[in-house]
Amino acid sequence: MVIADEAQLVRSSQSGDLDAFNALVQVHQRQVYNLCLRMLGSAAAEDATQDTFITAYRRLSNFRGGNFRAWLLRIAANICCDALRHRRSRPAASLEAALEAGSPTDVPSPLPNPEEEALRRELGRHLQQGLATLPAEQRLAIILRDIHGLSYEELTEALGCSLGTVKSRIARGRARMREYLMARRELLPRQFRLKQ
Amino acid sequence: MLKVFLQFRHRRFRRDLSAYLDGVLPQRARRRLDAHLDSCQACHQELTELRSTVEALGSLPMAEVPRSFALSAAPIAEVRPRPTARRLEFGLRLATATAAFALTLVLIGDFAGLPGAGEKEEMRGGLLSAAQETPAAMEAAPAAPDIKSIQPEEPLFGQYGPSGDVSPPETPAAETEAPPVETPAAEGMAAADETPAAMEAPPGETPPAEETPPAIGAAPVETPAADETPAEPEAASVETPAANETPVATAAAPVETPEPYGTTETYQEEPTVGAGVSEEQPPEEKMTEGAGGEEQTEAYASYDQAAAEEEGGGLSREEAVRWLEIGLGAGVGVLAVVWALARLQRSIGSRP
Repeated sequence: MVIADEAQLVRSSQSGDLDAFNALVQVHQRQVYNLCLRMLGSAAAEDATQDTFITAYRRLSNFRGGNFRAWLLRIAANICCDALRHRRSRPAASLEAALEAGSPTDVPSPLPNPEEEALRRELGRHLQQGLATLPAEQRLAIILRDIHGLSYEELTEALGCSLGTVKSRIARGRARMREYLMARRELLPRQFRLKQ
Repeated sequence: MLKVFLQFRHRRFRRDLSAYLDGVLPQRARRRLDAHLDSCQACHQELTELRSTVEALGSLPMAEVPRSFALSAAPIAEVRPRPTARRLEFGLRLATATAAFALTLVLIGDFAGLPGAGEKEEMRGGLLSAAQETPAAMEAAPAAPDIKSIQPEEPLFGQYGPSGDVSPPETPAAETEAPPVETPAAEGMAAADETPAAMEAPPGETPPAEETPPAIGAAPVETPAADETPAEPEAASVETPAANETPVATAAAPVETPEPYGTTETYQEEPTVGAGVSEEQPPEEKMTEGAGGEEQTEAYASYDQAAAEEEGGGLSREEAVRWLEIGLGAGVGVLAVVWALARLQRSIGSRP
């Protein structure tokens, strides 16, 4: 979707055009869903995604231009953080439980080779477990930067913080992920094994 | 020493590795890190591992959506509190904090400036001026209708005021529990006179009744009444038309609390204070653009500050105000209890 089109769609949505908003949903729902999936696990990801778009529609009047994707992801990030906070207050529904229930790493892939596919799943499982050990704000930063590929400028909008804070969160998150993976070096699939 | 310095440098370089990978490190820092990487095997190794980690994360596939999340019907628009309501809320909270602060000052003053029985006589001259000054403040009160309701104290002031009849025993209006009650009343006034001077205005010449924190900005209006200790009635009339007279009245009101009415009065006044203050409160609360009411817009400029924020957690202004309120509330509560106990003890002790 061309940016100019997106700006037009946003303007139409702000004036109450639901079809225009749904066109924006179609463009961004995959990103939003994947963020929720990585943050909350597959059990809660759908609800969080739907909540994100409902909240976004209600708050459209607050959007004053800029990067719509980052704005949307910021709403999703806040909803995920709220859900995690809520989950922490009820330990029965821990993140591990959610991840076990439906691992977001069970993502169909175009790789034809079953062995490659198994290795990829194995690595994905470790990465997801490593991500689950990070504090929420570091996990958000890592997911948005390294998986979704947002730029640092977009991250400042999506996370609602300064560039320095973004850099700091990414650096800390990556360092912890590195430590997590290095501690499990033997368990990692050979072809993804980190070099000594 | 050199070793410590090198370790510090090494730690700094390690922290920069992530930004280096993404190519967002400033040119100079990048050159320095390049030079360091040539000589430091550990950092080089870490950079390699970090790069592999990032690549592994990047290899994670994006899942397909299980269904379309398009909205079938427009959700009901969110009902946000009107700006005035938000301003009122903020004003009320600020007013609570202000009232608590003022009461704290009065109580502290009551402790610090307790005059003995002998000083009472000597204080008459001062009391006269204090009594004249206080009605001046009281006259400003009609601007705030609620404060009017707590004016039963006026007869008490009247005795001291214009008549100049200061004989302590004749206080039937202020009959509360025991004969020595008069002393607390006089002390209360003395305290009211002294508190601000002791607490806020060491130079002594500055207005004695400026408990109102600078945030309210009522102090300038207070000045004429307070400065002129002779306190001609004009002082009051000068005050009344002033734009922010309500804070003047409220500032004067807590001063009266040490009188026989006790501390509860102050709490009754709070809504009035709130109404007065909230109207003047500028719309400071800026709603952040994105989602979530609790979003904080951190304004940390540097990387180091950001790191510090990561450690400690940012504190928004709302939170700061809340904690200020809690702190002041707790302080006032403790002081009120101690004050009441001391008073009880004194009244028991002075009983024949």
